[in-house]
Amino acid sequence: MITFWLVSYPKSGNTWFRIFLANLLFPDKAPVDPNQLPISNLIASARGPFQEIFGFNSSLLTSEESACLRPVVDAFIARSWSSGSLCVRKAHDAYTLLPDGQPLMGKSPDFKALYVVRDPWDVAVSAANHWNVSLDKAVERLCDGSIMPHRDDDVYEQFPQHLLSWAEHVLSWLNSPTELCVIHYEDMHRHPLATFRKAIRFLGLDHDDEEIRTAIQASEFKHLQRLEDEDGFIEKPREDTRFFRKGVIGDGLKRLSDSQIKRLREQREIVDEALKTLKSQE
Amino acid sequence: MNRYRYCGFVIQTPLEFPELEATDAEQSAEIIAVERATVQIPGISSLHRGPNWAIGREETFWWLDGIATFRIDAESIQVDFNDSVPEQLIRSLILEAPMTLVMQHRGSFCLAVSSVTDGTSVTAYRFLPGGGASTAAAWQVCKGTNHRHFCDTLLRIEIDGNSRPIAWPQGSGSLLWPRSLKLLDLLDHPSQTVRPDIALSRVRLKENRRPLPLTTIVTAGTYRKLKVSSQEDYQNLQSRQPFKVAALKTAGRLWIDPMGRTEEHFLWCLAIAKYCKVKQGSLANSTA
Repeated sequence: MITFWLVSYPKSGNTWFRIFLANLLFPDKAPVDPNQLPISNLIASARGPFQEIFGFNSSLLTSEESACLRPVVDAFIARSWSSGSLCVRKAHDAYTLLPDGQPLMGKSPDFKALYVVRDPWDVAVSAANHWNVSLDKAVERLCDGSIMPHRDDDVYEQFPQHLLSWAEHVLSWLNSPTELCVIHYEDMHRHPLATFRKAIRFLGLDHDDEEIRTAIQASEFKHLQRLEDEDGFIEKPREDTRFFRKGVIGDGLKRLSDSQIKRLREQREIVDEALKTLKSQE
Repeated sequence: MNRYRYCGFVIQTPLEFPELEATDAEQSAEIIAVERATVQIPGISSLHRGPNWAIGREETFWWLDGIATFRIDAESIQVDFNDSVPEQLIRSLILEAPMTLVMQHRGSFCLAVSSVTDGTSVTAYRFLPGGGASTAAAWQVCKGTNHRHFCDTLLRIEIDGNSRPIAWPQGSGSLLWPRSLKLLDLLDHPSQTVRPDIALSRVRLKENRRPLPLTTIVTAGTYRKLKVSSQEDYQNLQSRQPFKVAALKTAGRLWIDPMGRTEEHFLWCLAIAKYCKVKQGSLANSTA
């Protein structure tokens, strides 16, 4: 079974895409309950499946030791996946290599990736809310991957994600040997039909435009916000905030300072260059 | 030979386990022998193989590459490890998956939960891994009213003659991170390091030593409101949830089918479902 990573830097539309996909694959359940998606919620960094498969308390291992075992878990999950159903799993990790030279996120052709990229200034504003840090701190994290918390002095529901900086994150996947399809969050808003169609074709799905349109409508951001207000949301980081916050384009340009935007534009330019090269090769 | 109490069994071993309470157990105690030995995983096809385990009906192998390999049956655990691996880590591992496997070979099952008791019954905390269940249980002991610690990671449950789930105390203390120790005012409490290179500590709190009925499982870990619109919904939830929790939170649940224990496990889950209530907590209410 091929695993498709639905991968992005955090707060880049990953969850929105999964809800769209659930609405597309299960039209009889549309609009789906985001708290009970009829597709997998297994994020790559989840501690739960790791502990179930290996059968012990993962906090006994260092984060480096557990990272080395994650590809084994992912391969086991792929082998155990129901035949006939699509194996799409959420991931926020960059494409990195383990000390033994093996990729954390598995090897081609067993692992492919649908990469969602979002303007870093909008990521920064959304991530600041999600991480409960200042805008300055969020910008700092996006620009300097080395400062992300990665310590063995506490444990969380997920293993430490290997994020790197925002630009390094995108480049790590663009430069990886993984078969990849890149879509832009902004295009998911501006050109939804074409963008979602491109993404699902990569996943090997042949739904027609009408089915795609219906799934897009069932996944509208306002609808997701209303559901979160009514029922809560399992991925919400804190009680006093929303997961589906604004979902708009350009909010970061209004809320960040000129110096913060300048730093993020530098990140963006590095990625734009790489994306141009990728497009010219397509 | 050392003898230690663990999950209602007696571990008999030449190894020293400062994590456990020594016992001069009575003759009738169920003994599990633990020893260091050379272990080789056989290539026989009758073993059901997973990523780090090979399960048979009579014996099982469990390993972590570069750390240790274990051979387990209903009576004993043999462990093979390099001297470069911290002994504390080996001991902590023995008390997790290999002990779970010994119990399964004996037809005993554990919930992967933390728990406390008020002296009459046991309340288990079933959170997402890393979600603060250990801290929540320790909080009840340190900051709550009149609770004793019952288990941190494995809650062995036996079904008594009246089909009631009876829980056995684990007896290996509580594994807590510095942030939790601080929260619980335990920074100056005697503790043992679990391994030198991580900040996890094992602390002994006020503990219960006798088996008691399991009556309540508290779940938490998400900011999701429970959709309960009627008394009927609530009743349905109460009848479904405990079975689901017991089945999904059984320690080492992937090993039960290949070991041929499916039916016993099903009946075990039913007994828990019949006698236990599931309550929903939230992260805001836990101390995570």
